[in-house]
Amino acid sequence: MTQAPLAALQDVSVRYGAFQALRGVSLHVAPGEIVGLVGESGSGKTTAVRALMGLVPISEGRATFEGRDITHLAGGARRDLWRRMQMVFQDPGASLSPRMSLADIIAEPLRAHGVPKAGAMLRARELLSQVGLPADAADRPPTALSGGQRQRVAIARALALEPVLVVADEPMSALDVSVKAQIAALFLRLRASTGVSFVIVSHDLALMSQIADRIVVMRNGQVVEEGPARDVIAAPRDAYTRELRDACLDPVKVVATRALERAAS
Amino acid sequence: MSGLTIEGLQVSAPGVTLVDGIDLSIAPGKVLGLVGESGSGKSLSLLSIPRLLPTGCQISGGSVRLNGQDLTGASERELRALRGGEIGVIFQDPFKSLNPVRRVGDLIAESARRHRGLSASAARQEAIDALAAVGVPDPERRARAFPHQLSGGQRQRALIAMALINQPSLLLADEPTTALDPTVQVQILDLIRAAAQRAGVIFVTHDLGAAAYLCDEIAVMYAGRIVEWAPTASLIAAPQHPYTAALLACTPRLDGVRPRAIAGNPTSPQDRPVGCAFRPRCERAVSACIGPPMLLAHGEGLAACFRPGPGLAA
Repeated sequence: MTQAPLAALQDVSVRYGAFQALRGVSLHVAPGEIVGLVGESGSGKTTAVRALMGLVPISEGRATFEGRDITHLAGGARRDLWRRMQMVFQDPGASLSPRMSLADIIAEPLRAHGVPKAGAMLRARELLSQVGLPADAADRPPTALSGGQRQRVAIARALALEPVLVVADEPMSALDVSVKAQIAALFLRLRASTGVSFVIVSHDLALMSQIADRIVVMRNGQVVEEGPARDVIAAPRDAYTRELRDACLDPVKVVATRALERAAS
Repeated sequence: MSGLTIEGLQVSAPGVTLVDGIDLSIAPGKVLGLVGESGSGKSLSLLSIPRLLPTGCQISGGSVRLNGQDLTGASERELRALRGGEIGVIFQDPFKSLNPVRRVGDLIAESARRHRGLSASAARQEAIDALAAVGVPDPERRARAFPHQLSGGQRQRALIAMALINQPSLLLADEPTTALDPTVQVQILDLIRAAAQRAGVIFVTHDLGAAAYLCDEIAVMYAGRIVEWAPTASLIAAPQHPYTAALLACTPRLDGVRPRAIAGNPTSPQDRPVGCAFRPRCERAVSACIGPPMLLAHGEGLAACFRPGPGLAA
């Protein structure tokens, strides 16, 4: 790691009653970095990012953000933090009020932080174009939007307060393949244009290998492997990572393997 | 003739043709993939075979023949005998397909009794054997479990056991692995592949990777029509239709190549333009593309394109 981490978990454990969701998890994201947090159901990946955001009580270890210990931050200070880090969920549909225009939805966090209406609406329109939605969408309600467009709105809203970190929990898993690729391209473009860091939670190791700089693999509440995306795919050190990689059905690789098998038999 | 033959199948809802004249055939022992995004009509095409279409949708043209029998003209009684008998069906969400208040073993046994008149004890034993055959550990105990007591992967296995209990000649699988973890998905695909030793299988998926892994042939659907149908290896290595090539370019890969997005959203059948439905999003579109698209031989398969060829392949 060449620079100080923007956000990090150090040996973090999280318990829900008797159930231990995280056991000694350490992970970090550097400024401008895209980290892919990969695991199957029950691996603890969602709990890990919730701990990173300060959304679950940490029973052991510590969470830091911009060099500051945020493990046990109180209400007001935590809310200030959430201006700097934002979250995007799998299906943003539920969080988009059908009675508001897209511009209102995106401007809402700005208004809540005291930005005057005119300025907030202007910024909302900028954000819409930044995430690839047409300018005339601003006055429309979110009801007519496709899944991919809703996800663009949620991303625009997350970016409204100019956060340094956006955490996205399975942001592409409910989308059609072609739309998934559009949103993946959008994450890369936004990182390039704004320098924002992303932590993207996904069960899709292949997709993460295409857009993340670094991949963290989790299983049973623990990190089993972590490293540059290329290395994790090309030479996984952990047996489970290898299993996960081999379960990725890259069509080109699948067909090539099949042809080799046929030639051998 | 054995196997399934679909000719000119149309499925409509009031005011819109959702599946617009598709031709397909599948022989026993083969797996055909039906691949497409939302609104492509892949699931409706599959569901029209055992006539399990959602309310409001109906077959409005064409024919579906299984082992020589025309299913579009079959009575509801004949269809009930076929479903779960000659035709096995697996859906995406096994929780919705398994009666939650019945024990898993009873559900499977009941199907054997209804279709083949087996005795209760013979059917029970078959159910346990069927669960063992699909890799459910401790099948005698699991047969007594209720669906919610099984993991997602085990529920899907139980559903496959139920679909196969009467040795169908046709197995229909609608996104059976979409909700599963990647490592479990591969196991379930292997099970379906094993089932294809006896039956013809149609596997509906949005995932070209899963289709490439499982299928002998793949038909790609877009806005209610088949745009390309070819043996798997050639469809992936040399896609002829620009939509197939574009779909391949945005499917996650392991070689570090970035996904290449297709501009715009999938075309819904309601907004299907004149001519080729992919035309508005196609990099290769020319004025000829407003003509009627027809599936013609290109490469090793069929493609409905005026400018076919692997030009866009990644």
